[in-house]
Amino acid sequence: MPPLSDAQRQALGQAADWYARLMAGQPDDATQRAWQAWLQADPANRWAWQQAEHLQQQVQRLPGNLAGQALERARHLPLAGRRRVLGSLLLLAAAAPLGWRASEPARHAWLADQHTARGQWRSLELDDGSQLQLDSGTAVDMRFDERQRLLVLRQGRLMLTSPPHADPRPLEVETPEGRIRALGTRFSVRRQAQGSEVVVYQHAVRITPLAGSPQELEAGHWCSFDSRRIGTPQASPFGQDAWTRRQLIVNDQPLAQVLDELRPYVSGWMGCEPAIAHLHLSGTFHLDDSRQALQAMASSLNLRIRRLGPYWARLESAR
Amino acid sequence: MSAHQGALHKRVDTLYKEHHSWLKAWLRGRLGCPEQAADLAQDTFVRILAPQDALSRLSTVDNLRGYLTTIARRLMVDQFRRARLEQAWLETLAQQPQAEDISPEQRLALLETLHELDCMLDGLGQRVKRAFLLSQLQGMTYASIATELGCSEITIHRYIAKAVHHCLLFRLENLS
Repeated sequence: MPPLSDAQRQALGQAADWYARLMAGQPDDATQRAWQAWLQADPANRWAWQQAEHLQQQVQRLPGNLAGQALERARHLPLAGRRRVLGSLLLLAAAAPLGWRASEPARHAWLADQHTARGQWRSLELDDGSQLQLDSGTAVDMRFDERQRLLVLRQGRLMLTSPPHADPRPLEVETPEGRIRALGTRFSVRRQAQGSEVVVYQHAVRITPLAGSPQELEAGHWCSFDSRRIGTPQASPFGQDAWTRRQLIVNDQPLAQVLDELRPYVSGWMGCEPAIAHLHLSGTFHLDDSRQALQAMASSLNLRIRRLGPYWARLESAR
Repeated sequence: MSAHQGALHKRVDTLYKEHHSWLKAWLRGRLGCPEQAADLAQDTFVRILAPQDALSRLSTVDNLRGYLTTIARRLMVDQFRRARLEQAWLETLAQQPQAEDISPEQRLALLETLHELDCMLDGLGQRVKRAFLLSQLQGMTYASIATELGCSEITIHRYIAKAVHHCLLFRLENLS
């Protein structure tokens, strides 16, 4: 785009002035004639006026009142906020809600990291034959070489199943809290704010916190750990691996808690009236179909859903 | 692939191997989110490849890391602006007793237009911006806006002309 000439800049300034004058209200005959005369005087003026018309068309595409409020409100919001940015970027790309920035399988070493977006799941077989499943919103760096098979879990949750045949290299998952070594197993690791959570479905794993002593965890148990210590192992409740089937199994939990568990999978905002947050419910919910999940919750507790557009929903008591 | 393209890709490949991890870590430090940092780092490298004169541009750069961070920073700010605007939009919707249901495509287009407008108005003073929005988006008369801002209608006219002029220049210099 070549730089604008002085003549063009001047014409644009005049067009802006005419625009403001004509927008002021119903222009009288004298003003209209003067404007026409200005248009006729120079092709640059006609060009400039066309630019002004394009601008007007652009602005008119917006729902005026709401758009104006949003722009005004944006001024008062902080510019950077980690959680907001994460959620919003995914929303922005959600013309097709799934598959934003789906990473392609590694072709070069420096493209080996795997990411899933919100509402996206992935299963893949690794080079050594092990099976990896990634939950929504997960980021894993892969470090497979001659000496090791290491997955660095940066966020989210993964399920790893060891290959049937032996491999001399240790198979490990690393989080900031420590390392989990597979001892011929099927297990999941999840990163949370307070630490890492491990669930073992087959055989065992050895957990070594960054600054603590190692401990083994057996099938049918789960525990969380931070960089210093490993929490007491607990027996696994039914359905802890339901996420691998894109489901959430809830057993007599309060509504607010269920919404908390669903929220990471869902685009947009989802909440409930404070008065009903304590109500208990059970059921199986689809993580990849938030509409269904909300409807199921609403029917089971006799609530209604208030929606504002496709990305905002609130559960309320039916009046 | 032409010899020129081959040279460019070789250059970017070297650049990538030498600086990609560093850039990712730099972004992680600022964003606190590894997934975003990885995506932004990737976007930065894509942006470098995009211009026709990419190869000659790269050869004139002394401080490669400075160049990378400049571009990454610009992309970051753009994303933050979009995210902030979207948040403002959702909050505005939440306050409406009855908002319209629009399709995801319409919503995307709307947010894109809003973002363009937001960028266009960025360089303007607060009062000028406000006058423009109240007139063009809220449909207020100059008389009402004058009362709102505590000035004369002639001043409002000047504000609007200034805002429109600014927007027209911005559109021509930035949007293709």
